[in-house]
Amino acid sequence: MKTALRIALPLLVIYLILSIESPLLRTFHIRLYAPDPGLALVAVAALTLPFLQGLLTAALAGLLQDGFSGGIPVGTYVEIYLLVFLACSLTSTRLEYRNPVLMSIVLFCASILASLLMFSFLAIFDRDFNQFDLIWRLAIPQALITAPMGPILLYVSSLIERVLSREHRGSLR
Amino acid sequence: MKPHQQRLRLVVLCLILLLLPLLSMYHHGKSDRSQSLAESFLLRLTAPGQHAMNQALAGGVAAWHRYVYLVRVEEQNQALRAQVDDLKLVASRAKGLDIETRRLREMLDFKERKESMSLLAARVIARDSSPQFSVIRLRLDRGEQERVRIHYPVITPNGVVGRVETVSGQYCDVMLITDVRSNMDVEISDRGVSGTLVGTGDGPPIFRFPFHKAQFQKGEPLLTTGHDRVFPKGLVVGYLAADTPRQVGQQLELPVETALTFSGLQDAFIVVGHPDDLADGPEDKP
Repeated sequence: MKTALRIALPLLVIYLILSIESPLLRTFHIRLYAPDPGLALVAVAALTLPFLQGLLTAALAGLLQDGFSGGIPVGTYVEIYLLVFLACSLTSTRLEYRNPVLMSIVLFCASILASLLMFSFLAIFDRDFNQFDLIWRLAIPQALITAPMGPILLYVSSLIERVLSREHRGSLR
Repeated sequence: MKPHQQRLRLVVLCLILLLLPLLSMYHHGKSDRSQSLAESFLLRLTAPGQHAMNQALAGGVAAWHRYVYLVRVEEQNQALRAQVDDLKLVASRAKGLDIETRRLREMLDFKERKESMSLLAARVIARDSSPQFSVIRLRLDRGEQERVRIHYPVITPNGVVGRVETVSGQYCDVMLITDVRSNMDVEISDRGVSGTLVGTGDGPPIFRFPFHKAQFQKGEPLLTTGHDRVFPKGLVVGYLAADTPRQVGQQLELPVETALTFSGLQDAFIVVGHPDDLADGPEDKP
């Protein structure tokens, strides 16, 4: 139960962020510069969750992002998030990036990697997509916008963890 | 389960998880295809959240716009109020000017009608009031320089005001027909009844005349006769305020309502010469 909540609660947060992100950015006419909270969750999951839980979280976050994105083949974000998760897991074994600055740097790099992967997958699988220059043009701005979300998601994740631990202690009493 | 078996399971799971999206991408990347189950599922999953947030945001934005709009309305309201105040002032001035223009036109017409009289237009610059708030004396802005002399009649198109009492420099004071010292020869021309109009101070002036059997009617006009050699003949002085005279000794008395309201008087004419009506002119009056 606790494991399921550990996966579900951050996903719920991502769902809410993605739900509000789209109309909010459209209202302020900055639709193209959308931060990627799903990617931030993947980086945090790689650091804080066990491998299997993190892998599932990444896949489900990718699925959510696929649902909210639209216009790209279903599975694109799932694949990207899984690969980013593997990369972050590999990084976390060598670098404890809990520090907000380090987390932001890792997320910045992860975002650049995600743009690269996006470009590759769309080039391979999407026969209708032709705005490749847009991906390159937005790669760095999007990475810069997404990077600060890492420490935020890490804080949210620690909050969830604290709540779940408290509940657990309560049930033991 | 042994560790290497666990690791193998994990690797297989990883490979499956990585392979499935690739297959999905391959399938969904085709140009001509119908909507898949996965797409329908994702749409159903994400649409409610987006819809709810969209509604909430739209409500928030609308409320914000409404608030900003109201702020503008408030500003507009204040500006319009100020404008209305200005316009009220302008309208009030215009109304005052209109009244003044009418009065002056009336006086001009009167002056043209009375060509035989030498009329000097004067402005009321002060008025003395009794403790009962009735006007007892007026001060005009004409004096010796304009050849104004004591006993000169002061009139308006609507009736007689009184006579000049004192002249000093550029000003003169007028004794009203209501003053207790005032008396003038008047008549009810249609009936051939003539007598004297005597001021009473605060009350209405009295028309005093010799015994007469005529029936009087309230509202009948009293005109100057010109016999007193002060006031020109034929000017309205007032109107009978009662129809039944009161006998005082050998004479009868009737109260008179003056033709003018002195408290609102602003302009008047001083008759400085009326050769047709007064052969010798008011200067000759001792």
